[in-house]
Amino acid sequence: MEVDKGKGEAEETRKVAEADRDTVTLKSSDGKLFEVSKEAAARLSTVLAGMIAGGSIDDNGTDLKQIGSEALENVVDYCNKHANSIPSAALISSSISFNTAPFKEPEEWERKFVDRLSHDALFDLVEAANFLGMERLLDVTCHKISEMMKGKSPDQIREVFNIKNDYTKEELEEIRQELAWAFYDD
Amino acid sequence: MATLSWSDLPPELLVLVLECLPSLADRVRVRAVCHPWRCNARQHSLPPLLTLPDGTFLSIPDGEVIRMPVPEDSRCHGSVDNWLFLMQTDGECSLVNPFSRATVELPKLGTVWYNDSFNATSGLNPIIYKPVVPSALESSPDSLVAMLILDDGHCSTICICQPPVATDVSSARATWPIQVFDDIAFVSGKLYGLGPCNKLFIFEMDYESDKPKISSIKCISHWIGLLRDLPQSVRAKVHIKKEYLVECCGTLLRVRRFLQCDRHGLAARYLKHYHTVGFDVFEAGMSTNSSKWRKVNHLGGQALFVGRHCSKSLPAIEHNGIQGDCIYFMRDYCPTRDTLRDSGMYNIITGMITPLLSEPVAVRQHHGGN
Repeated sequence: MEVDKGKGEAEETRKVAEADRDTVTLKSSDGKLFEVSKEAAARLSTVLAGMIAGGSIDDNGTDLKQIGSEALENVVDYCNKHANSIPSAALISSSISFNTAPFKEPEEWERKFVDRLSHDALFDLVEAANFLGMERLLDVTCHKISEMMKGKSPDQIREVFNIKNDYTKEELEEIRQELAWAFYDD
Repeated sequence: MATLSWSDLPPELLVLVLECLPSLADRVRVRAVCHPWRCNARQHSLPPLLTLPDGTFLSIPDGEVIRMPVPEDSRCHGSVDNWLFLMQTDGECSLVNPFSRATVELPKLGTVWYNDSFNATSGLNPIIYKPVVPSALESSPDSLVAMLILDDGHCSTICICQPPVATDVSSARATWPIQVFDDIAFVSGKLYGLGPCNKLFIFEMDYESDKPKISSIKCISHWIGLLRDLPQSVRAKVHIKKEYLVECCGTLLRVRRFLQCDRHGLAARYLKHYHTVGFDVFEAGMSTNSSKWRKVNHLGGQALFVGRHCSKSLPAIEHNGIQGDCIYFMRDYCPTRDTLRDSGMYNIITGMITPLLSEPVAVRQHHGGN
């Protein structure tokens, strides 16, 4: 009985300690641990916010089995950078204002943040952001991907993203006919 | 990590990426990259396009004017949503979606117009065609199409079509007193017309025997237009007004557009010297048979597009680059070479007009698939 009681108390203390901590520990699919600002994680990720509020954060590292270490490192990096940057007034208003366009341009540091990523890292990050319900990071990564497509022909886009052209010659000709006006006329 | 290829990008993420691409051409090119993208992007709606009177499209978010390839013997006379109303030199009419290439055959509307004995003896010609549909043609291709035809005698003719045939024609000349309709719109499957002296009419339809006919045209609202209703900026000077009917979230809006002349004397007689100075919007109270107009001061985040050849409303929040509570208008009178002259965006809350493009546009010519 006494042992049980002791255990309960320890659990209690641990929970209090966890609530007091201002970081949370996340564990990638390959078992690496990352610390992230609790405030930023809760603010930027609806999934993490739910886990923090629901007390399902594990002090020894909350398992995120769907996210590899490289992507998780970028997520954590983004959260921590965000915690240090003062959110602009425009960003705050965009989430509450009814009439403004749903998307706000990435800020300078966010742009730099995604610019340095390899294509593979960008792919993993956009999926991680989607999984963690990180709306802002999704906006920033999708914006980056769209920039890589802008003004390019389907051939150029395939080259940039290393996508195999899976159309038959006939299909391709059909698409070209159908969408003739959308191709540059050179 | 990334064992997956970019072609495996989940559909919901591809859609988010497409939303960051304001240009219609970009979106179309992305769709042409590979099978999965083509399939996943198909679910995504096209960016808002404003059909210009000359049959070109203005892609609003990026201000690009796109000329769709139409068959050589066809001319675009108007549009409904993303469907162009084309008329061939031999009089054949159709609605064509240039994106999907779907086609709805229509009767020869010119012939239908002249077949009406009142029109035939008038010595006049139809000049403006405005097609309206009760629901999106993409989802209901068998839909009824109503066509408002305006002629150079300032009279209107309404033609009801169950494609590919015309099932009823109602010429203003055949009515007494003459009821000319400035604009028509479908709301919740019912056809409304804006008539003389600012009256609102409802067209009761008889759908028996697969041939929809207009069984009666009933006035449901009078409008006593008082000068004091006008915006202050308009009241002070000579002006003319144009009116549109637009369906918006299940309600019927009457949009008044005010134009003023920037010249004095005789020049004020010519429409070409006019430009738009403001708008006001009224909602029809349709709960009772005798409806009243109520002035509205915002559009609940919707954006309106008005023109004699097409009008529509869109939820701005769903479209990057479109502003809510704004009326997008274009020059739909006195054809000029400069398609975008007197076109812009009127913010109903601030009363400000912003031009659609700050720089003159070069219309990009697209070679069709020929």
